[in-house]
Amino acid sequence: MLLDKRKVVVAMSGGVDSSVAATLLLEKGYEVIGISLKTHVSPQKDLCQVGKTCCSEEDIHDARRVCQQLDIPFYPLNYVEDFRSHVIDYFAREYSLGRTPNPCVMCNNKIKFDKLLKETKRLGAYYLATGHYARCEKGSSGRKMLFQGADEEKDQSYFLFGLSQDQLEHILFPLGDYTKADVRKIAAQYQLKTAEKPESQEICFVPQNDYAKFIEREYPQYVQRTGQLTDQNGNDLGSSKGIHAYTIGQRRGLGVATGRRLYVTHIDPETQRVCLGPSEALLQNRALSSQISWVNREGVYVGMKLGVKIRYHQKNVVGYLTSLTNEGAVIDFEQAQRAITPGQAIVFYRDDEILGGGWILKGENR
Amino acid sequence: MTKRLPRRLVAGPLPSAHQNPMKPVYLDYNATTPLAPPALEAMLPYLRDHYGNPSSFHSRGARAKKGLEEAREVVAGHLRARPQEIVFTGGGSEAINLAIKGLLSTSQKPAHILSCVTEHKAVLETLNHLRKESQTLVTLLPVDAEGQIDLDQLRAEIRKETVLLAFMWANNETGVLHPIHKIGEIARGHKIPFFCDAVQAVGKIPIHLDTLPVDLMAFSAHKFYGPKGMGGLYVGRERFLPPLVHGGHQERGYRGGTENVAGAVGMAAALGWVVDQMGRNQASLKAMRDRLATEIRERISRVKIHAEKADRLVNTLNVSFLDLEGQSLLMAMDQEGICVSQGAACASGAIDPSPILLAMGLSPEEAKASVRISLGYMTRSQEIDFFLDVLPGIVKKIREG
Repeated sequence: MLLDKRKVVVAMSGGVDSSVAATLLLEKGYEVIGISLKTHVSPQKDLCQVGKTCCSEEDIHDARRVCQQLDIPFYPLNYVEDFRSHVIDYFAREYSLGRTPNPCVMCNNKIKFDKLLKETKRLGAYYLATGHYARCEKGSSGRKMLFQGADEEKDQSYFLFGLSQDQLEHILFPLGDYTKADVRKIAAQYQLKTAEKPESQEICFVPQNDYAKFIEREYPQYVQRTGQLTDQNGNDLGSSKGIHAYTIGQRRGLGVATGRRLYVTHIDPETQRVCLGPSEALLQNRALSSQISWVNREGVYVGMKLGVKIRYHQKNVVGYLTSLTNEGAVIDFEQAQRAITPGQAIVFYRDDEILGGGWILKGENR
Repeated sequence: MTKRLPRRLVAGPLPSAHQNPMKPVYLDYNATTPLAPPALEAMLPYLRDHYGNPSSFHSRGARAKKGLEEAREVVAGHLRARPQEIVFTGGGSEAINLAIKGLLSTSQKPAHILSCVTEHKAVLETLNHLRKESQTLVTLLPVDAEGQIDLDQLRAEIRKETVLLAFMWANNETGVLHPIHKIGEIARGHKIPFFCDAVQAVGKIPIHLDTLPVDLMAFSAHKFYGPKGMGGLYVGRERFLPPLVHGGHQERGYRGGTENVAGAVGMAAALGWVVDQMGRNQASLKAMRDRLATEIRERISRVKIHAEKADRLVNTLNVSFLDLEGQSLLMAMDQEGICVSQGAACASGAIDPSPILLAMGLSPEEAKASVRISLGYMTRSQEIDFFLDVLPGIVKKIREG
């Protein structure tokens, strides 16, 4: 099917970023269609407080108002089932397996840049745009290259490591060259309804960020409360709330008083044991990862020095690609890293170019 | 500094492959209808000149009151009721709430209400509310694959506590008509009040309340080419219903608040217009709908038309295009300037799978693949031509995409 290169669908979250993304595309002369995704139904309506961005209905309303201001078509689409099966189910399952999931990456991979991209093409539009802070350029070899956003603070390339060349051909990131301050300014200049809207909460479908409570309520089948808390030597420190309630590096809410500061250092889904230890026990210099995907594999070789991110809010650290097979990759860090967390994304950079990434299996010491 | 987008950038979509010469093609008359020209004409003097409060003592008030009461007489006349049996409300949902809540509050307790799974949300949510608030017992009859209820089952579900039967006349999504006369006779036989939600029926089928065993009947002006925010409730034999809206003694105590005079006048004029249209154009409306059904079947594979064997409104066609999502189809159609609809919109405007189609035994996939096409007296055959020209290509594109 012939796709129109002047036509673009903007994924509108109802926040200021995607609002400005749509505005910038209109400025450039594109024909723009706004789409919002209803991804979840708030499990408890009373948790939705007026003025807080916790309820997707509110966000869809805001997106619609901005599209009305811009005089562009707007459609709210029901993606509740797909989002549940691909993102929320995954999220709960990962915790039940002792891992810490990254639902935003999964949403990008399975929802926005898969299902919604297909929807975009069905509408005859060549491009799907989002309000991510990342830059995409065509390299000399004709390959698409993905870079960190100009705003170091807001850079969201970490969440985009799963994008392929085919996908990037059809994706625009209009905010890549802007800072958040620029974006707020543009929104104010156009008097967009979302100009002063606060940043959204971390996980859109978890009320009040209490993910353990969310899993207990929505996925009781994943909750086992039989496990124990232990120290590094396996000594019993009391009973756990169930492994779903812990994440590597966690210090708060452990319910153990030992006089020294303890952190979760290891979660064993087999035995349901949650191991606690001192801060030093969190330091590891090797990460094993699986399901590696590449945005740009050109020039990547075993032994290569990489910039590596093992969590979103972190500067790139130096690591070496020690091994790369079909099963996964081994990264050796120049300096030991704190809380290498199974289930999180590990993302590889060459300077500010994002090369690819995968999912952390575990950290260890070489 | 405030910036504005250059006009040329926001002047709307660029020309697409199909040029729609009569944009928009509006085939969503069950959602709402355009205002009939005589309704607009009738309303204008009441918006411009006759602005008096009908309750006022002076002549300005009296002029408005005259319009209001004439409107009531016209509405009553077309429905073959008496003027004092017509209560004006702010729409269909309010009329439904007034009927059900009002009747229940004057009933013995514990109370039982018999209704149906395919009722409109205005009925179902009202029943839900009563279930929670006043421990009202509610039985919802199921429907068969054609969206029809079983009258024997209805009879069997009546108990000594049953204080109300609530059944819609015409279903908003499928157009299926319930056997209102027969339900009414059963109700009369058991001396149980019968409320009928006729929001989708008034203006689409003739309604003769003088021979109809119905006690309460709700209707909504914007479904029959009248203004939005205007509706009414027929209250047979002036049964007492306590008001939902307390205030002055407007509407003879059924509803407080200054009356929407222009709305009432517009509704009356629209009803007159639509009754005339019904008399002259019912056959051509049905012919257009049937042509749509036939040609959709001929031109597109894997199509399932719903409730086709049932007694249905002649303007409604509910069809699933299997192996696609209706919301994708609706979006693509809208891009071509074609307005059709699907299922139930939630608060965000996103579409949830239709509970009505699910109740008829469709799978969630089939329900999600459905589209409701509803025609009206302003529909022209060229619109149907255009729709049929464009639809196969869009369905193909979406199925392959």
